[in-house]
Amino acid sequence: MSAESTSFIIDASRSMVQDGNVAKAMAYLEYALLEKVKRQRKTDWISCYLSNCHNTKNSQDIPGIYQVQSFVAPISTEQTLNILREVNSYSQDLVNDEVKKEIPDNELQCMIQCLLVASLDLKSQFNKRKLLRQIVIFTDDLNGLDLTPNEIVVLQEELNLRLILVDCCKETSSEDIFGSKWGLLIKAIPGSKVYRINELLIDITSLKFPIIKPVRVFSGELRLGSDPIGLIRNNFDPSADFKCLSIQVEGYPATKHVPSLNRKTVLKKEESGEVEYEPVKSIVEYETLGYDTDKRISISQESVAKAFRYGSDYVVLPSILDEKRFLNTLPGLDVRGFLDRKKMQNYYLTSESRFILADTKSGGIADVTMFNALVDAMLEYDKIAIARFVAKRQTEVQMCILCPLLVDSGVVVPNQVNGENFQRTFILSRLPFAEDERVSDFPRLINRTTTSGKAISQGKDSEQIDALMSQYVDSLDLDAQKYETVPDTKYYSMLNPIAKETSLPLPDDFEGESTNDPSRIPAIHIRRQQQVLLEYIHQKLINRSSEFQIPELPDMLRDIITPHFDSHSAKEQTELVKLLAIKKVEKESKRPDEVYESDDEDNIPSFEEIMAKGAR
Amino acid sequence: MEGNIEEKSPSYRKYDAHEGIVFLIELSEGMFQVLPELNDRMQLVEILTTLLELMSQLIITRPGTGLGCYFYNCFKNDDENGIYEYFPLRDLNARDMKQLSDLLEDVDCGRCTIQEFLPFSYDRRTPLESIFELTKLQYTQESPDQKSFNNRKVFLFTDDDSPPESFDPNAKSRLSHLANDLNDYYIGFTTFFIGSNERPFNDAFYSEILRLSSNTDTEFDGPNTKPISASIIKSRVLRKQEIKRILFQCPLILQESSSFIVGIKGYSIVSHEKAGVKYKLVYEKEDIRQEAFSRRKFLNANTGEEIKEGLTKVFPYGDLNIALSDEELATVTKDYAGENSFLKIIGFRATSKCTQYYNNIDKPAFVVPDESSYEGSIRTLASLFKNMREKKKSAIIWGKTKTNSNPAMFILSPSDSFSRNEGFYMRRIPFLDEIRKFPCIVPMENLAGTAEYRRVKELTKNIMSHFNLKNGYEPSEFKNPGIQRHFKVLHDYLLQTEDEAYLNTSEEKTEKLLSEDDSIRKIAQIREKIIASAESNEPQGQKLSEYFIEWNEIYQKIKSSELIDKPSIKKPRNWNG
Repeated sequence: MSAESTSFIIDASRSMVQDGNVAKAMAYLEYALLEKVKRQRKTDWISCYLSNCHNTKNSQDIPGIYQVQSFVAPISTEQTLNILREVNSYSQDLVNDEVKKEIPDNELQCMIQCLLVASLDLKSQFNKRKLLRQIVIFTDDLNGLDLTPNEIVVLQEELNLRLILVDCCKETSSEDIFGSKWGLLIKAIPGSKVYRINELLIDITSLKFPIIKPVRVFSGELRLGSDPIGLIRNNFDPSADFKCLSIQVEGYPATKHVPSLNRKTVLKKEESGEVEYEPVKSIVEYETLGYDTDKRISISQESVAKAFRYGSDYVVLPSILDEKRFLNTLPGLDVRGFLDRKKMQNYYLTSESRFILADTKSGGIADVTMFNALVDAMLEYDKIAIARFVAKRQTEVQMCILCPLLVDSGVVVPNQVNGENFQRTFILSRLPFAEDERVSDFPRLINRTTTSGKAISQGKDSEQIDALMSQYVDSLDLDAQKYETVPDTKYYSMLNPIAKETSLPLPDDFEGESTNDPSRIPAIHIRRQQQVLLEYIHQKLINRSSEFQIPELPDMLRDIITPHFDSHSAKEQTELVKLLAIKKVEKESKRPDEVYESDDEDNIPSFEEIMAKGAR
Repeated sequence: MEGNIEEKSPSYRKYDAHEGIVFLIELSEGMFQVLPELNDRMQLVEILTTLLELMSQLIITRPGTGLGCYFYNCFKNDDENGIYEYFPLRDLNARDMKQLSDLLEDVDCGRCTIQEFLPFSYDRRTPLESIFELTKLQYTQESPDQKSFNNRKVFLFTDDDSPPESFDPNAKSRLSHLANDLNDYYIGFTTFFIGSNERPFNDAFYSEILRLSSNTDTEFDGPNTKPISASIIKSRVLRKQEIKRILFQCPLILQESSSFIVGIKGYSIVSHEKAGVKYKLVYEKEDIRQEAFSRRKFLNANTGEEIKEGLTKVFPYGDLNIALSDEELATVTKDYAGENSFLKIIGFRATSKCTQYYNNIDKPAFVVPDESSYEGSIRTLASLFKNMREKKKSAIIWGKTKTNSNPAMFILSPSDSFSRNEGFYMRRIPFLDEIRKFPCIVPMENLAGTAEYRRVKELTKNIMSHFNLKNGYEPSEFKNPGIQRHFKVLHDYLLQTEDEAYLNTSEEKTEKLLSEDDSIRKIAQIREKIIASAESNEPQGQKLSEYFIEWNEIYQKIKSSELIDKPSIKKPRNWNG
């Protein structure tokens, strides 16, 4: 998303206010502006006008137009609150007839003027600067534009922007809209769109996914038959060697962890009941025990070294040897071999996934062709590949799987052959090395034995238990309940370059995320946190409530995590529980041959990380 | 063993394992015999090689482990019982490893024989009682510079099924008593009773003395004394040394309202070991070297002063700071994440529909029943396991495995009949927010459907069939070269081993690179196969090389035609940046 500017024009006529449409527009604005507050983008401008308004304030001094907010970027919370409060209080005053009127309500007809003022303001603010210019209009009077067809043509040339019309009428058909004056203007101006107000309100309560632009994480050759020693010694060129297959490829993240919204550490200051938070800086300091004392004294970072553990020994390496600890690695993907898909144990996959695709920038048609042929050949033979992978210079060596996959490119990319529009890719995921594998023996679940090897008899009711358990599994059978499964080709969707040119929350024309696949669910913790934060702002800052009532978890989220029982029989389950004689043990005992995998060991920050934190 | 096993509240229960393994090796004629199934090596050498490999592995994965090694029936020194302490039970260290690797190298190079190093005779047999006593002493004696062991293993290697004690009822009863005694000290035997078709090992005697007599109706009734073949010594040692690492322990809710809840434990089966993450900080200045510590400090960003109190955490929202109290936060998470860790079955789906290779995001866990938290867990999960396997179903699970982690969705699949263990594999599935967009590819002329494309696909298929991995992927075949390098540098420095500067020729250096990096060696083997094909005299043997050449010719041909066309191709704007 590059620079953009959004001007909001709200038709503040009596009908708009009385029918609750201004309130609806404000609900949308609250959401849209708080999104912008959150992002704090310096190139995301907004301004806001009330049209058909009894107050007047605008650059051209045209009556009936009230500019609530002049251009600002990024918008602050305070400015957002001001806009909402000002519009709300005007609505209140209008309903209570406390507005000073110079002309009667029904004679206020200045939408076209407001459009022109907004357009002029845009021009004087940005001149010829390159940015997306859009005006969002909320109105319930689709014919409230006094324009002849000729004037529309003139206006279309005059307005160097796109319009987003939010139709606030109760019921309108598309013919009503596009036959109206506003509709004709929308049709005439490229890129313009029409939404209904309720459509927008539903959209902002539905689940939105922030779209993250793909960032390249690997670029190199996919090879079979390369000379690894020659590569290290820099005397082997895979692309010129006919004993080696080499294709230019690149890598992008396919799955990636999202953390929950992080809290930041601040300094809390309370002065005369007012709470304020001040920013803090975190640094890392080094200390050691002082000479002849138990007290710790500060030492400089330069005099700190790492002593690596080697069994019961700790080793401080001289710097010349320290460099030798690292392998000299070069980016690349070397295929080790191919295997039947079903021979690959799923539980060996240990990392996030990446797309590996033919590189169309540093490569070309030859690379795409050879790459696609490889993917197709592997799909036809139902194979996956094992490869040695180095993502970047001097980074660790990994063994990986390459799983071929077709990705449905939907409508975005023009059809290729025979109407098929699949993109070909590999999905790369890390495999364990010898050091990573934890092989242990566990007691068997069926045909159980004691530790010395004696058979343990099955319980007396085992047949009945199995029969009831079978019913239990059936009662939760999602396949029988007609839940969908997203096909492999649609698991990943294509980045749509057109859909997201604005950060404005608008219903998406392209996202077809309407499946009820129970395993495709949003990150509930993030949704919940966002919901609560928005509600906090709404209650405490907009409504100035002293208490914060935590909202309920939305049903949409609750349903996702509720077991999908069909008409299950409670009686049978009670019987099953009884037969199984399940009993909670109050005091647990611990097996001496087990340990808890320590989190710390996995998460010890590297020295470099600590240093980097300290340097901040 | 009081005080060694900590009992804290479940969420914080983490205890520092200090594991010990004592190798007890009985010398016998058989131990010195060269066996064809060991590639003409001696059993004894196989055991010692395995011990060295175990040490090299543990130094990486569990450097705090203690190891000891004893031979008996050995006349190395004046010990009247014929026990030779090769090294006592103590924490892993470079010296013990060097001692062992030097010995194996000397034997390998013929500088000494193993018989010379470990003189053996049946004239003076070591009484088993003294071996048992020694074990107990090793584990129970207090040592000021070593923490006591809370996980105590004995690996007993012998191929003699009838020592003198087996004919002496009194001795048997004393040994049985001693074995029970050891069990009371949590010292457990893992037996390596080596037998063969020609010389079967009868485990009757050892089974009798090691079987725990206390009660007959328990799962834990002593070690499995089944004899093994010499060829599986290594794999059994490496498997039996493994300590089970619990990732989580929590209830599994099958149906909440009818209290259909059992206990489960999830174990780590694969991890991602990294080099250079286990270290201490040291302060070095002139002659001083002592431990250093790092400490995080918060400074007021405006004044630069250190902040001692008043720190709090807020949610940043644009220019806003939103503070929620702990109670408020608990209310926010309660509805979807509960308080304590839990997993809940949401439904079942066909395993084929929900286990994929293309959407992995995390490490898996292996899940088994936990009878210690809910009685009946084994019964329940055994029946669930059977049913899920039969119906080819996996469970979709919602929950969190740690009190403070974010809940997520998981797939729980029963292990298949090829798996070593019976239980469930649990994999996390990504949230929609975690599934990234497929990048837009610059539309390009595509050769799909052309004869050329079909030929390339055919060639690719032919090439693929030459590099088929029949046995799938075996992690044990690939040591992590980065980790190996890190530890080799430390090892060589600690023991002041000579640098390999004497490697002069390019071949020697190549040889070394290949021997130190499994991943490179396997890639080099592929190239060797192609070169062999190119040099083959048989037409059939040359096929592979011909496929490679033709593939490259087509690649070059497309590339050169592309170059001619290139000026006319205007690439549209790239949205990927």
